[in-house]
Amino acid sequence: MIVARGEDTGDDAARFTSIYRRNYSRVLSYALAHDRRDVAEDVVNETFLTAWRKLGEVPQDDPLPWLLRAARNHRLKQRAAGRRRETIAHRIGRLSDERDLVAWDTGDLVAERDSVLAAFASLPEADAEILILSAWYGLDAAQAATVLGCTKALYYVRVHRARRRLTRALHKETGTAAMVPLDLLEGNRS
Amino acid sequence: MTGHRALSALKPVALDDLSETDQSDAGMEARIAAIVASPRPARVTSTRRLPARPWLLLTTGAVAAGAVAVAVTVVPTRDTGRPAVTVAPAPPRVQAAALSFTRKGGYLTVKVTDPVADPARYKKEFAAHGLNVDLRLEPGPARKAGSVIFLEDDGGGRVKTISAPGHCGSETCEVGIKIPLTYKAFVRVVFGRTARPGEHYNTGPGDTPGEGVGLSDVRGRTVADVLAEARRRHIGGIGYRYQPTRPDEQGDRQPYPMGVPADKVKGDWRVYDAAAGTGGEVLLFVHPPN
Repeated sequence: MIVARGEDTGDDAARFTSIYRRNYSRVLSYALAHDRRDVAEDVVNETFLTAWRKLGEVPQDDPLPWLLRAARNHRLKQRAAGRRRETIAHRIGRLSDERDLVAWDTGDLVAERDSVLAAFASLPEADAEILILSAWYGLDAAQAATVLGCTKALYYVRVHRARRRLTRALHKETGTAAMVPLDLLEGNRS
Repeated sequence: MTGHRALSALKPVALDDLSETDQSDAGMEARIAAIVASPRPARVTSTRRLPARPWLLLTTGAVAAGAVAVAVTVVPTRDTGRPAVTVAPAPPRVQAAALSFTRKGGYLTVKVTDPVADPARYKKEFAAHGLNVDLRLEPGPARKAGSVIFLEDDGGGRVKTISAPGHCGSETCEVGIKIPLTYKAFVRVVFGRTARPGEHYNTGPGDTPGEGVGLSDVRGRTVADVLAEARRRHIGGIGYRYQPTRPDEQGDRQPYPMGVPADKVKGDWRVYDAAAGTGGEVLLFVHPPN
């Protein structure tokens, strides 16, 4: 019982509060991309509970990848426990509303959106997952590797393969690659 | 729209605009407060020094249900992983079930009827109901008996704890959990129970340092003073652990990571805490006077 030596719960609570406030919406956004709202909210709650219990492990400078990794683990556990599975493409369908169509619509590219979505939906879920980490959440290779629990080198290999498969799927959907330059599939939304 | 934004642009606006979610200050405060009030193992700072040695993880003391953090403690041992909480093993009993099970409203309510049963018996009885639950009771101060020390729930947090009054012979066992009938996820729950006379227990936040090993409040007293009390109370088998007090002694830099040899400890050193080691040993956490 060498207990809680030198632990300062007050400081910890302040640090945790700051982590929660800064990252809550991003973690929820990540969880919502994978699961319906009630499950996602459970995942977020579990994630921050884990962060509180393991506060010493949460990186001081950049907690988000650590949090997303914890969220991912909770999400996978829930699936293992038999919760109904939804794919990211499925989630896109459920979450999209007229706001999502506006940008595409102005360019008269709603048909293109359908093609991209169909191509995306045809990917294995692991590919979809790895692609959105950078494209949607702006994570760099090191951060994404942390979320996935793999090395940066392995992340590069996997993301490269995922992009290649998406490209192929797009070819199939559109009959041409011209609409979507292959090397530019990723990037932050801006 | 140019094609190169295609994948990024698939991201639903709803994921950036979480307005359906309660992000009000009050809502967020409440969620944060609920998490900060949940049981929590303490940081373990010195494990890296002893990577090859087995360590025992003990939850300490008990935490009032829903109240402050609980401390997890670490005691180095030469044994191979038998939890120190069983240093005073429960006597073998041939009797009725250690747990009682009641079905109600989609939940299975489980109450502890034998608070000193071998944890393996609880596990077996849970398994007989198709549940994967590791329930333990650990000794603590009487005022904390029946409260949840630790709850780990891999299934999304749907397990509830209850503290319905009830007695188990001379032991306090106001403890129980409610589990959804179809629950398959692993659950680990530790409740406090009253220590038997002379039985050591782990102290945590809110306990008096030393009470778990039969000493009065030891914090800040000299080693000579505490040893004199131990002699009066016939407490032997004392070992020493170093209590880092300065930043340059923390973690890897603490001077006696394997314990302080008795001949290095001077009578004017100060005691920070006293705790039960394995095999009835009493560990004093000491440091030189500052």
